[in-house]
Amino acid sequence: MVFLSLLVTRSLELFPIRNLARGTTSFATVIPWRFAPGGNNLYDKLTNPSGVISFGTAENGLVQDELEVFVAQNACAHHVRIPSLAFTYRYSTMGGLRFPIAMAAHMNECFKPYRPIEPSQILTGSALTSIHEMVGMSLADPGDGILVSRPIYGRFELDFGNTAGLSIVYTDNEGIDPFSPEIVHQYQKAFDRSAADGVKVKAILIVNPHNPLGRCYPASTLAALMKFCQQNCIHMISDEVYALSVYDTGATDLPTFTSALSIDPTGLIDVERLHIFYGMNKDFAAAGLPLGSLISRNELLRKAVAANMRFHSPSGMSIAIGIAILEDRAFVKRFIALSRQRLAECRSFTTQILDRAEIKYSGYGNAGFFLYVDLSPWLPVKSNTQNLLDAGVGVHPCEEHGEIPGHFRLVFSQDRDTLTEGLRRLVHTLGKHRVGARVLNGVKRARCTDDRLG
Amino acid sequence: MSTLLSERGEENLTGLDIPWRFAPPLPRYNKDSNPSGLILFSSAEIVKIPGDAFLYSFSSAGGSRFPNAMASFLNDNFRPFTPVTGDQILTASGVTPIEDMIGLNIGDPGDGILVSSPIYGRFELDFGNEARLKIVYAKMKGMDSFDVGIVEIFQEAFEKASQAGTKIRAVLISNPSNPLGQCYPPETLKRIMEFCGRTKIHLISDEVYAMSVFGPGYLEAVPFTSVLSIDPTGLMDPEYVQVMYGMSKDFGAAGLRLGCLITRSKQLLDACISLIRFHNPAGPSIAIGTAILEDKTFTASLLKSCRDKLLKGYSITTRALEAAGIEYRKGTNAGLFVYIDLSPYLGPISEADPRGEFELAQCLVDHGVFLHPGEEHNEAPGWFRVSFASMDFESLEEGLRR
Repeated sequence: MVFLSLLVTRSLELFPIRNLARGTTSFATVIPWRFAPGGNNLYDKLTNPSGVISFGTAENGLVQDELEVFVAQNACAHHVRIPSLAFTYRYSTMGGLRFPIAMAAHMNECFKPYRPIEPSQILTGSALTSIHEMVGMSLADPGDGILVSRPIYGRFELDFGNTAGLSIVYTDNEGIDPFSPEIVHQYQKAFDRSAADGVKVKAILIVNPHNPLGRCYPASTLAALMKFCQQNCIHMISDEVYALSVYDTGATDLPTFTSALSIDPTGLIDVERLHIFYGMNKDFAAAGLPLGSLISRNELLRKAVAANMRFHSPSGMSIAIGIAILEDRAFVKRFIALSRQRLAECRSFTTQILDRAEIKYSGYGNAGFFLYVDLSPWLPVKSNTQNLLDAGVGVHPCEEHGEIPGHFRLVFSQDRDTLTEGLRRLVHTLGKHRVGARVLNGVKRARCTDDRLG
Repeated sequence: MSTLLSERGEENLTGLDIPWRFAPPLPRYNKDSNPSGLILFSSAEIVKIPGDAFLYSFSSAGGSRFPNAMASFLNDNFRPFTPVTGDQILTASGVTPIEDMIGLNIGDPGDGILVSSPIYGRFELDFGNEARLKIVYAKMKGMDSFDVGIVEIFQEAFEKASQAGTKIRAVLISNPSNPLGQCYPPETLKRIMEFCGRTKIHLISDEVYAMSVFGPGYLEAVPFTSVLSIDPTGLMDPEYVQVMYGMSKDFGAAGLRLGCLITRSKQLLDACISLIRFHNPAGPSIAIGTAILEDKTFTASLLKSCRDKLLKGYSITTRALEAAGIEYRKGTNAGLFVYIDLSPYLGPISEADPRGEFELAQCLVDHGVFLHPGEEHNEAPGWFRVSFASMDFESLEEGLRR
């Protein structure tokens, strides 16, 4: 009885199975496959060769050495000095004074905004996960929804769901390219359906460049989405964390990155409805800092988010490092160029191996750290991923909420040795378990949760 | 636009507008560059730490090493009844998020956390903003927070809250006390624990000032006793004892943003871990924090240096107060502040200013000094917390002069 009364259990709200009720124990142990597998048994070539190689976590593991050298060298040269002031509250609260200035300058240079971004429009917290939560709480009430297309980053449902209590509402694309302006019709359908179900959608959320498809939205689609939001009186959030992680893959007709901020909003959307997420965790491979920013012209939203920033204050150390990196424009240029080159190489290396193994993937991409691979010939999903895990390969089933079952995000931004070994294990294990080409034509709107349980 | 923000968002907004809820964003005093700027006595930070002493490593020390280093530190300094182990410690990006997570997991919106007053004013934000818990201030009736009789006060407050339909989930103490700057005697702690055991609620002990006991050597000065050092047998279930600690106060390292929950309850720990994605500590901070804690010689000398400077700051402050004939609470031997009585200087009472404190605070601001009115929820009006450690001694003297 002691254990029952120790914590509070609130009644489950009307959310998909994965959202948490307050006070209940960690769902990592309760919901199968909620988190990327292999977390406490990760592969290391020397110390843990039988560990799990995870393809499930989108971290750019290609450039940490360069970061380390930058910081170490510049520590001596006093560029990345950790000033004693960095140990105080005011240096880093909401980003402090200097970081927003550096970030504004960086974004003005790289995002080509229609109107220059002011430092006062940037709020910085300890990671974008926190920004998601606070923006969710400020724009919507428990039970409301955020509308996304699919496939999409799976952890939005945690970020917006856990404490903010929001649902992620997924569009059904019905074969329409999610990057074409026509996708707006699917958004409208989902919006209306959701309203009929009693879940009020308060915002759409796009990831641009896209996770997991690794493509950029063309300006025409961004404009169409803006109009859609204005017509339905909702907000538009553009998560642009992979903005600079766009590289040459030979797909010359693919659009490169266009920020939602670079589009003239006149006649499309009220500027106060448009909000951008950005940070240093992807483009700068600095997930360990961590620093995440909300960029918004909406003063009310910024104020509402600021009210809860106390729970998500960035570290003074991280702010000092972030400032040093962003202010060194020569380093940023070199670093981004290097990162792009390595990402392109890893992608090419991976696609060659997948081609040889006849594993299909969404080939049309030029951004991000991942490929979206089709493992449907190796259904069912659950036993499939368990087999892979047993063989030391981590993939995260159903995480991206794809409409067609059997697709997985494969993160290739790892060191060459690990990537080679991981792909070898993947191909080998799949080779043992192929069940033949399963016909899936009838399955248009399969829910991944069914597959997970089946 | 009425649809612009959610109801919650609007509420959060109004929270920022409450008069004097936060320290005013006025330009800060600097002897050379901004001599007419504001001197804040409101923030409890220690800034004077020798910059060269900090080691820096970019290879993230990770989540396995820091908790062990912290456990070792706690075992050395808090004399826990049962040694603390690394797996009983959850590290987040500050103690503020720790409070948020505890609140979300032990209470439902509208439930209460019972405190004596005066107390740290921002608990109501920390437990209130997201977790939506109420801080219930017990009616003190002249009782001192450290007196064993406080339990009767708690009992009364507990019953009154229950009758009013508020479920109390925990007693929350800050030990050493903020703002009173004194430590709870072990006997009082035992009685409080007994009370919590009887009523089956949590005891949350915020011990962030544990090592900031500078003791001017009063005979009656009570040294620090951690709740962890008391044998809970027969008093309360050890799984209901939650201790919070961090590196912001004792180590003057608020910018590291490292705070810990120390708990024997695996259930609570796991429930907080499920939310840790919103409050992960930073890699560089973990690296620095680990380096500090593992270097026990440095830690000891740092803490001694802090205590010496706190004593000096306290002396400067109390001397200035005495010279000016301003009353202050005697017996302070810990923390970063002196609690002073400015009731003779209060402004007239009005609807907008029911205790006359806002006018006084405004007058002080106009003259370049900030003290936070009503922040500690003292029953008697006119008391203010003076943080003397968040600035160098010259600025302190200037601030006191003003």
